[in-house]
Amino acid sequence: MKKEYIKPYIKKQSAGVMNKFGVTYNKGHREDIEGVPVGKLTEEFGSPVFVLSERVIRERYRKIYSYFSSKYPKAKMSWSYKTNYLGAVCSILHQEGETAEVVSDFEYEKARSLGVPGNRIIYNGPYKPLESLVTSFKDGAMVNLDNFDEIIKAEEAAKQIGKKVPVGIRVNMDTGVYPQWSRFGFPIENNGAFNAVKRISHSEHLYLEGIHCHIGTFMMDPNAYKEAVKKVVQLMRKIEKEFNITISYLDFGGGFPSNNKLKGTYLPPEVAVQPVENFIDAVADTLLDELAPDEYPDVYLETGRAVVDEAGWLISTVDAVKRLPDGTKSYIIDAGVNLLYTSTWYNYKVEIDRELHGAYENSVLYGPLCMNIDVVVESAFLPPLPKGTRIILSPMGAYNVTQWMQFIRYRPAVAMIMEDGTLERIRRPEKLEDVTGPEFVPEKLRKFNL
Amino acid sequence: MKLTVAVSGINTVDNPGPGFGICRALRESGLEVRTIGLAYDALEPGIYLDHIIDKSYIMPYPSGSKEAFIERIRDIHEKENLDVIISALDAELPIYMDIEPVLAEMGIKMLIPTKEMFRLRDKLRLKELSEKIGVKAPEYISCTSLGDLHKATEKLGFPCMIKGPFYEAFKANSIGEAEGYFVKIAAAWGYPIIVQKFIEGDEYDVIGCGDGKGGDMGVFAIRKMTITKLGKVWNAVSIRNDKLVSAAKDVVKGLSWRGGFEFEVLVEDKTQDIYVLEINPRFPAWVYFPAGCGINLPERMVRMLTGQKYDTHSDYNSGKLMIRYVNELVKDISDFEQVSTFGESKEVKK
Amino acid sequence: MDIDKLTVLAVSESGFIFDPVTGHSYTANATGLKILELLKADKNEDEIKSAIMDEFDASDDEVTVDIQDFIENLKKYFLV
Repeated sequence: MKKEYIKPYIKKQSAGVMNKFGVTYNKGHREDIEGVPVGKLTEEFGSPVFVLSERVIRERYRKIYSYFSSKYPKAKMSWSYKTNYLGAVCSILHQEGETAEVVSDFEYEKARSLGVPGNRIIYNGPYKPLESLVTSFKDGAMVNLDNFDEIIKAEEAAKQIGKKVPVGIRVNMDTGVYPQWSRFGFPIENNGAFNAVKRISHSEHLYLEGIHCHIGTFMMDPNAYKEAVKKVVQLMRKIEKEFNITISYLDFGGGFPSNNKLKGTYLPPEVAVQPVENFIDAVADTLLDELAPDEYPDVYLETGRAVVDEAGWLISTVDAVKRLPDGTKSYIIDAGVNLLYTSTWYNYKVEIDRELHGAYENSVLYGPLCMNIDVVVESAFLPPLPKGTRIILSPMGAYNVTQWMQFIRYRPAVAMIMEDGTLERIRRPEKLEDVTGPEFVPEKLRKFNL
Repeated sequence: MKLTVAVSGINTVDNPGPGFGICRALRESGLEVRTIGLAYDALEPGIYLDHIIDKSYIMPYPSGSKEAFIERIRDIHEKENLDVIISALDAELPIYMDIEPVLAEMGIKMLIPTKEMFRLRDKLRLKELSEKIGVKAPEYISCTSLGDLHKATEKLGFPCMIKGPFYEAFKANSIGEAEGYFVKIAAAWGYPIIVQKFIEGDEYDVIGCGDGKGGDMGVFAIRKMTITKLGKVWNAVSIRNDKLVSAAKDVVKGLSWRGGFEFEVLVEDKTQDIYVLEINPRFPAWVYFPAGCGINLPERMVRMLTGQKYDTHSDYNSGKLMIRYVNELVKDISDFEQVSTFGESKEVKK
Repeated sequence: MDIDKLTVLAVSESGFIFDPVTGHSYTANATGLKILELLKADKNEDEIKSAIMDEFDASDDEVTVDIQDFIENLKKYFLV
């Protein structure tokens, strides 16, 4: 009986660089996702494959909503379509009671096609085509306006349907975080927001109903939300008094972080990222401090990432092993930056599907594209991986399946592990017709001899 | 009662950690202590200073996973039965703040700041901190562009201090100099960059330890005499300055400070007003100095954590001098082999 | 392959390797030590491969790639 083979290694020791006790971040391996063996998932759906968990989505949502609604009486949540607009994902959240938050005409149509009534849609974003404003006003959607030109465009749309319609305005402000998102909405500080309200109050076609803000993305400090709430409530008071109107809703957008590791952060996300309750506390406690009970407006949160990010994984496969000229170990895997736009700012958690022995070393994970920028993970501490090893990257639920692109390769399947443990293919892998379908080749270009 | 105390920051190098000084203070205290060093690198000198540190273990980086960190402490705890851990490095404090309840369940006690205290001592929140503790802070403006810098220097005048978000600070006498430092710091550490009003005066440090309920366990003040290029105090003299001591006590009281700290202040020449520059949320590297002068803060901390009586007085003499020096040890490569291969030092029989 | 530098290495059973000429130290696992030993004995890659395959349960392909990788590493460290 021969001995078990462990891949050979030799490693130079250098001061200041950890030995094997120092770095253990990726020591774990996982054989299953939510109880379904990794091998079963790839067998059924191929590799690479995005995997989402119905249970985790529902649980995360319920946790956030029940906490928010226990702290503020008129708490509402609206599903941020851009975070993940797969029909199955949106439908889970609509079943849970979330309305739809969209930022484009496409997303608007997508929400409608899933059966969301127009008056259950919040329409945000810096660009809304006239026709889609007309439609959304007809449907009774909550439309938040971004700039003066859009106010004028909205008047035009309202005129077309011959109705005075409610609108909200998007505002921005300094909440003490850098960078300040000042390009969206009207600034509170220099009275831009106030002037916008004044303009709307003179309008024959619009009346103001709500205030919306969205102070940033992957916010690390809940205190920024305290500032935002304070400033928005102050603005609300000022305009209610000045123009004798009642604001019926405040919308504080999203931006809550998930347990993803941002590049350039030192501490692990479990330590660096504060629990979502702290962010809700910042919003709800400040609201209760600032408002009298008889003036509680509806308050919306559009939490996307914090709900869905940790409900997603990507399984990919090692196709080749390469040592670079400078000695760095590298692996080519079958998923690249075409699928993983978020790899630009995250260091994903990297897990492998089996226990492997051998020396851990810092390794690069390259995608399959013919491009130098196709680096999925710049540095993962991994044991030697044989070809065929499945690599599980996470968290993957937010933004990837909306920002992915069809470059060179087909986009893969997306699978969902249902609450009862069964599997559903919620998006099939793409095929040639998906790409060529919308194309047209002029008659005279169709023939060639090679 | 024999106690086992694990201490991090045993890197007595040119930018020294406080761990070795803490262990030495414990060694020379009235306690019977087994000292355990928690190192991040096989060449941290404390590992080889086995007359003061009985045994050392290599730890996973605090930037790795929380689970791995806890697992390693569990391993060490099984062998050593730790009573107390004294964390002495800024970078690891957040993880300890996070896992303190888990350690408490294992029976390991710590006295460290809460997350809110840790947040308040962030450089960018000096204003908030100063309001909370009622000590002035030099006026400062955080900048993210050269335009901001121009506005800030117009407001604060020259000379002014240009400070990085984490490290480095330069005194600028003109807009040309200010821009130069601004660009240099931004390239190395990113934004925001802090422009701070320059105040002519002397720098002082106060070391202390808060019990977390507003009480302090004694304080000890020094004037820095020489500092290294990295800004670390090298020689110092003990002083007695009531204003300074009461300011430090106010900090402990006002924030209900929990654990060791170093309160860095500047006393303005003209007015003798005290300005807070920074609060380090742990013992500083010169923690042995007060212990040698009768204010043994690590001992007091361990006694408090283990339910023993401890002193809280601040009776020490001014005019005691701290002379730091360097020294060389001769060891064998096999000692390094032991640490780097097995992750722990070999116990030396005493 | 020039193996002069390998012959002077002080190799400990723990896998700790000290180079008394350069002062560098290394760690290796059992398989690595085995290959090192075979290289020191001036065996060629084929001989090393069959020795490894005699002792361990591994495929020809995998061992070929691994030995290549190991020697690349030694080259990177200027040991061969």
